[in-house]
Amino acid sequence: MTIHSLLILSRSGLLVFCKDFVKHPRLKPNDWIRVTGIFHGMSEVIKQLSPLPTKNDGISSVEDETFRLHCYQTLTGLKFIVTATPTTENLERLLKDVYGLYCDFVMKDPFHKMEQPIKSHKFIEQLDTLVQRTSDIFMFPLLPFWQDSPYHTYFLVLGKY
Amino acid sequence: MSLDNRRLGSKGDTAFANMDKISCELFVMTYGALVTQLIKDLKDIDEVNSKLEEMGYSIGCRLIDEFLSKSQTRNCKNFHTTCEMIAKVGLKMFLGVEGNIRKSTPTNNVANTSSFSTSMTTSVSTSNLGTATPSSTSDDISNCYILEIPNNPLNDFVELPSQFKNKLIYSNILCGVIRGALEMVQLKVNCKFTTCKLKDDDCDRIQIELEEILEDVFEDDD
Repeated sequence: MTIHSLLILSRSGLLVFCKDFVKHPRLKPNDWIRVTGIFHGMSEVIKQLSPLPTKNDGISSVEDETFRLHCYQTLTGLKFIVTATPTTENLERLLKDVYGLYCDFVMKDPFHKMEQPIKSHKFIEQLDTLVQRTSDIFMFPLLPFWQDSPYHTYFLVLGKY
Repeated sequence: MSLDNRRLGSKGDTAFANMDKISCELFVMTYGALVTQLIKDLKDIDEVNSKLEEMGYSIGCRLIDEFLSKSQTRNCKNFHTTCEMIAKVGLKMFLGVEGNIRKSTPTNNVANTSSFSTSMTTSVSTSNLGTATPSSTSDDISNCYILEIPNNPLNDFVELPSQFKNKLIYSNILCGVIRGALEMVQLKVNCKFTTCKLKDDDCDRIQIELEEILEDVFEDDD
């Protein structure tokens, strides 16, 4: 239901973008760099461990009772990572949309250099509205109170528009 | 194969419909102005050619993300599919035209085909992964393809003066774009124009030759 943080890692595993939508009680911005560094390393190890000779994308999701993390790795090696409450669904869709925004507002920004932190204001603005919209859509159907009520489908439809 | 082509074609159409569009004339004229300016600045035509390729490379490095995101593409099965994807989806998305792919003989023989197919196989063909033998793949998969672009929009309104005709590769930026884009997905290729409409050939042809598949190497720090 709530998106906590969104992170973008470059090809080489550098943290190029980090945004907390909900303030984390313990992690400071610098800690994210360490956490994502470990994540990138772990992901690489997982790739090596896979018994199939296919290319795999490393860690795609991590779940816990208190939160859930989803990672979408593009063919170019970028990693889009989102953390959210465990009930949140469709995180993959959200990350693909973020990838779309990244192409439009980061890759087309002439002042952006590869492997450098993302500073584009437009990107951040668009991201805010996207996350806001995603939280709104899933607000209604996921409230347990409505799950069994006849209004459930109605709210589902309402939530989408 | 024809079904595959149609599927790619419709994918290209959808991707094209989703793109922001600008006036073709504006685009073509801007490119023309760019090339003219380069010729004025650099004087040497060979240098202009390589500069165009270099510019294309930088464009390709950034453009690939948009391509993957907007066309919803995942891994390609083999190099043939990759080239088909460029011809039917990539060109359609960014230039609004479609190209064709023809098999070609590579100038120098590199990496054998079997290594390619095993490292690049998609989930679609996971079943025959380990068993892919060179004999089964070499029949239809080559490392070198010719991309034909019948209506290259960059050529519109252009006529090369006689002193440039056999030296300037006007659309060389496309070679760079292809090279840059493929390098970002771990394919090192070599691109060059073989024929060009502006040189009185019937069609624009770009030869795309696979040199090697770059592997992400996992290195120990100590």
